[in-house]
Amino acid sequence: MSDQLGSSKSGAVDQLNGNNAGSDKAKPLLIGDENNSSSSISIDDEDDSDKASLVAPTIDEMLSKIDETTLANLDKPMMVRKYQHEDCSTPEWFEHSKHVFIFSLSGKPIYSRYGDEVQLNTFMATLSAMSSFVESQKDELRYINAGAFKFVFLHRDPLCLVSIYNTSEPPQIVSAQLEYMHALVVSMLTQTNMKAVFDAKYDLRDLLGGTDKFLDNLMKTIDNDTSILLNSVNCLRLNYNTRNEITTIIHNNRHESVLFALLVAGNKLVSFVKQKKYSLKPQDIHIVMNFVSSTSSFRESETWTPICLPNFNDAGFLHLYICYIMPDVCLLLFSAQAEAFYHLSSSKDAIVKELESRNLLEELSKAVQNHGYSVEATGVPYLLHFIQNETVMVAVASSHELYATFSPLESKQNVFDSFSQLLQWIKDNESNIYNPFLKILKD
Amino acid sequence: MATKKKVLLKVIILGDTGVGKTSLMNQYVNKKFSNQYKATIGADFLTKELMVDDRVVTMQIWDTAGQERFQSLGVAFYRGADCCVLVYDVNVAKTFENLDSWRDEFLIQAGPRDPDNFPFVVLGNKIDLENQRVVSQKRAASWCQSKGNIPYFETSAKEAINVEQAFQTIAKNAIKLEDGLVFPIPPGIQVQPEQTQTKSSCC
Repeated sequence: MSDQLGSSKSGAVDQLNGNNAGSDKAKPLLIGDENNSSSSISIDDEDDSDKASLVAPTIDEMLSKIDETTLANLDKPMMVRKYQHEDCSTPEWFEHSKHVFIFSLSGKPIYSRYGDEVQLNTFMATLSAMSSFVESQKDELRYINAGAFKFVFLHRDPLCLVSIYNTSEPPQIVSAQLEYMHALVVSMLTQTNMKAVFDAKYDLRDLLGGTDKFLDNLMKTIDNDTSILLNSVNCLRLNYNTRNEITTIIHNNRHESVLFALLVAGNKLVSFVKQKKYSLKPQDIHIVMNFVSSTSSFRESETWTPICLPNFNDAGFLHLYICYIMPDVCLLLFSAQAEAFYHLSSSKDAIVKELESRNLLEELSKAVQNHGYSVEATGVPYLLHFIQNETVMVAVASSHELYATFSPLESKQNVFDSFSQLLQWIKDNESNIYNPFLKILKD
Repeated sequence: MATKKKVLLKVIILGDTGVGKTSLMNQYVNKKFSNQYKATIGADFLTKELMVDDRVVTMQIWDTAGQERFQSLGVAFYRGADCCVLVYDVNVAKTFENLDSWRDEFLIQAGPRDPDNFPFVVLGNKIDLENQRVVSQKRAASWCQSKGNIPYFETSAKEAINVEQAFQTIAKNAIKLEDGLVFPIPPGIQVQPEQTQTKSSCC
């Protein structure tokens, strides 16, 4: 296997086919309307812990939902993925620099980033045999170095995720990326259902039909997004007062069943409101943003869909209200109540109305277009790149991480001076860069 | 993962060393036979697509090592199998007598939910060497019957006798198991009674 990967470098170049892999026609898997979405989460009055008690939907419910989606898709042409025709018998398949495979612990294929997973079923069986061999010696296979390629294995019962890559990333980073892919699968099925389906020897692909796109997109994002590396979320650059006002408006107008409210612009967070006893991990926020941005039909209407937030509770679904209030700005409201759709829709109307009356939509639209900082804007000499991470949710001045890149030939003194200058610049601009991410409001 | 429902079956081939497990698989998948013997190390994997009652089925065949020293894959190897194929050589009595332990080994390791009805198929291979035969068809058939009516085929990987038919039955029986598990689709989704929502408490 490794030999094949290594020796095929001289093969054909990546073949891009013209099919519209990201087509607008795609139908999201988990969309249910208020009539058929299952009620799956209930919040216990007595429970003060920060885990809501969830009731997982039964497999029957899951399957019936899938079936409806399948039926709805019958009259649509099947979407062809990019690279779908490739497998380990085509030279171009070996040219990709980072493969990702997901299969069940029994060695049955679920997903391949490149190529058709069914055609690759013996390849994945081989990977699972490699991992089984080590497992039978009461150990766990994590990494393999094979020439220019590395194999990274991530075991998450009942799944195994493997990446084979020749980028220079360390295995720990790639392993963290596989964690994200796993979280995405859980967000679509819940861990409870996944185990039940696996134990019943069902082919998990039946339940994941049509979700390649989410996995493909997330992998693309992960590959390019430093915020995932730092376990954080990118925030939209916005005037401090503007953001404050927006957050307050969302807070004041949200329906009482709303657990979390997020306003996002692309994959950037604008505003975040939550109930005090619950919190949302960056990973869950990324999963949701990926879900929303992967489905262009969300742009056209209000949507109500069940989704599992793996770090919040991987046993059941929450209900998510999705509505684009502006072309690139989307309001997301999470509720535990399956029948809260109309309440949340009215909340949205009230929020939009107030944002409009205070001219905040216009400001937001400007911010969306002007997002980004250039290195030049900081006025810091010698600086090539910088990344900053707010390590705690509530802003405290000393809790930031700052990463900066300079030329390797730069003198220590220069680097030091520039770094101090950059810090000062960030301090001066702090209020616009982030911080309002989590605003704890007084009731 | 297109939206169309697909069936993928994991099929495990077990049996003593040299009975022709790899040859049967090669005959079935590649339509090839070689007289040269090469021990399987660990496991080998082949795949084949076939039609069973108008359904496209992909078989993922796990060819195992018969030699004990190469059997090191453990529990995970058997996990989630949809069908187990037991192979013996009609010309070597010992390979037939060992079927019992192969079957037991599988049931212990795989731990299927309903061991009595787990689909096995028995193949008596190398029937082309007719004059050396030591295990009669009757004896084999009665063993299969005593183990819950396991389908029995006499095959020759070399002459391609009964190979196609045997694998067709393997797929059919494995699917039956899957189909038996189909959850009935309820008329409408039942909604759990909702508890009263905690009043949101932001500090």
